[in-house]
Amino acid sequence: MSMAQETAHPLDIEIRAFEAKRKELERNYLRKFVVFKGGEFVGAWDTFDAAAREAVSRFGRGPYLIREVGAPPPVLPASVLFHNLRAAE
Amino acid sequence: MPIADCGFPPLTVVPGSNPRQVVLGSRMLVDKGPTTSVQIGFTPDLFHADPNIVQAAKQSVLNQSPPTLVEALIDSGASDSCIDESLAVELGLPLVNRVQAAGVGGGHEFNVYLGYIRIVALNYVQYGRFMGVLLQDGGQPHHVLLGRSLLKDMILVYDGRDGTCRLAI
Repeated sequence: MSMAQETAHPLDIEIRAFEAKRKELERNYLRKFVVFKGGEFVGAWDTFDAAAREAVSRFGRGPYLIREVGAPPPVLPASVLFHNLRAAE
Repeated sequence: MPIADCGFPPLTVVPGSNPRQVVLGSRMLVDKGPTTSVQIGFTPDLFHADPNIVQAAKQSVLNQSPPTLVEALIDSGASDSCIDESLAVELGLPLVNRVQAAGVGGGHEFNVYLGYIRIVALNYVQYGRFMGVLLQDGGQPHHVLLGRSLLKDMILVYDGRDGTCRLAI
């Protein structure tokens, strides 16, 4: 559960566009960093830094999506999990 | 070599205690963890293609008189640094992703932001992407977690016996 699920998320359009193209992206850009803006695929870069440079240069503060194609889910710090657990008690 | 003192004095008086109570620094270090002051923000030039402009932007951040300092936990259990979600929203950091992370009680979604973390005592800036996590809402006193991707450039000396902890670069 998250705040992002309760209301429309600012990146909903970009994430929907990413999901719609996911198979194609995985075929052509696996482990690359792709940028989506307003539902449009902007491009793919080898590193997050390169993708961020392009996105900031073109779109400023956004919002825009920068996502690694085929990335594993992130690992949460144990301190975050611990405190969430305590808060739920 | 710049050194940040991230531990606690030998004795700390508990605010508002009557009669006066004191807490040992070693106890404070256990309860709160190694802590340092940081500034969080975003400046587009840190993400510029020209390295000279990036360098100038870093210098500009380092020269700022910090408008708002928040407490950061030095968290060697975290691979990457994280920022409190509500602070990221308050500062208007650019939102660049939403990720699903496995956690206790099912999946949790987290926003990812662009920004920088400046460790004031070390005159050091880390910039890039940071996951927004629920620190304040989770009851944690810190607004930022400094993870191993930041600590890789540093020396950390933790002395649990006397409550001192020093971070150096």
